[in-house]
Amino acid sequence: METAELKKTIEALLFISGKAISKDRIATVTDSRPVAVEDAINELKLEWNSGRHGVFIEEIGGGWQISTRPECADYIIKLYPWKGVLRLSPSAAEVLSIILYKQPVTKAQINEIRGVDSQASVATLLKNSLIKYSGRKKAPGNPRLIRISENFYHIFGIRDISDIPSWKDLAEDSRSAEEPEIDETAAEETAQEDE
Amino acid sequence: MKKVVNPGIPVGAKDYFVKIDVFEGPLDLLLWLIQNNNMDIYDIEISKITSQYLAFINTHEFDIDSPAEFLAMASLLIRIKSSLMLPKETEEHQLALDEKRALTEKLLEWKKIKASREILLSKFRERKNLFRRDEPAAIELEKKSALSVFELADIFGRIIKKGFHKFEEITGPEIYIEDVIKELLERIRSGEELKFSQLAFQNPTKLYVAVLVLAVLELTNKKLVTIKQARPFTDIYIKPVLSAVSGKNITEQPSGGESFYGNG
Repeated sequence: METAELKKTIEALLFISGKAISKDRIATVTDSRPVAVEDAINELKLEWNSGRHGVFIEEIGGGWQISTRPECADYIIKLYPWKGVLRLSPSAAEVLSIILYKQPVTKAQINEIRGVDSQASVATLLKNSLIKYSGRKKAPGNPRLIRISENFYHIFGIRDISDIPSWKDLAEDSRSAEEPEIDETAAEETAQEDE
Repeated sequence: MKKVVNPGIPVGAKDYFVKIDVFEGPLDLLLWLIQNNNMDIYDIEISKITSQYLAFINTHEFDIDSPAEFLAMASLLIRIKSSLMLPKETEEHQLALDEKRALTEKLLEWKKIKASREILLSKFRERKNLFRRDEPAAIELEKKSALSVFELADIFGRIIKKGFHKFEEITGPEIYIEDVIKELLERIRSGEELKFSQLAFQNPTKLYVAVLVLAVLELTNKKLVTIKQARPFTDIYIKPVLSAVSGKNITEQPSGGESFYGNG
């Protein structure tokens, strides 16, 4: 596909998707090389992200999406009041942190790390699609495994894992022996599996 | 747990007031105590921490959200503390050292999660004003439910007004165990032997037969009748226990209404 046409197509794809699409997915759909997609998106960004438009293209969770500019927020909430309702309690943020660094985890593992029952937080996070069930653990009772979902990256504005400190860097005096890494494929995966 | 001002623990010479937002759980409290004492997390002074921990939960027992978890931690601390007092060679002492190390690991992990929580919360605040078309449908994450009981009642009221006014009360025959017992006692008093099948035929509905069974069991339990069956699936004979039936108390027997269902 020729660059001008590719740009137009990507614009349409990003608009209609409404959430992040990964580079590879765009490349497959448009029959182009990932490098060409990246170039086209960079050009689109130059045009859109100058501040003259109400929307801009941003990198989220290993993909790209069209977001509205923060200065337009008040009017968006006037039009769609429910969009401004999402709040995050400290305990919900805690549960999210555990899932983010330890995924995939079971509810029992979350409770173990927090030292308190986390059922309510897990339920609200699931309802808000910030986390999702994916598979079951091969253990007695086959407990369900929980992972971060695509919405999470958008809600927290996380481009990829380099945006979050590694488990090792989290608290200064960590001499902890085991250092689980963030699941590197998670961001990529979620951007791909959503249409 | 709500905001806590000066948890009532003497902190060395400086008895200053400390304000902490929330203790999310026992680990949170423990970590705060360790930091407050400038203690090395890798070498927790168990006996000092244990007494401060206990002092705290004693003074705040009514503020604590999940007492079971706080108490479980208290018992772990006490166990470690007492085992460490035993001679070094003992198995208990070694086990306690392992438990202490495990506790340090848990606290370090908890510290990281807390740090990450703060990062997420601040990122969340920064992002509050950015939207996309496929915005997740917002459900309040802070409250358990966005609807109050009154709002729910309002909604229900509106639905009813909208035309779903054809609510009908479902009624059925009412059979009370007291009535059946009374009836049985009256018939038994004449010394007559009753057949279960006969009784059931009077009103062959599931409800009546079920209540009948309960009534007979109740009377047997009170030793007013005896029941006899020759073989499985044959008829059941109900006979009065004569000494009891001749007594006065029979007519007074049915009492306690519905409790018969539970106690019978």
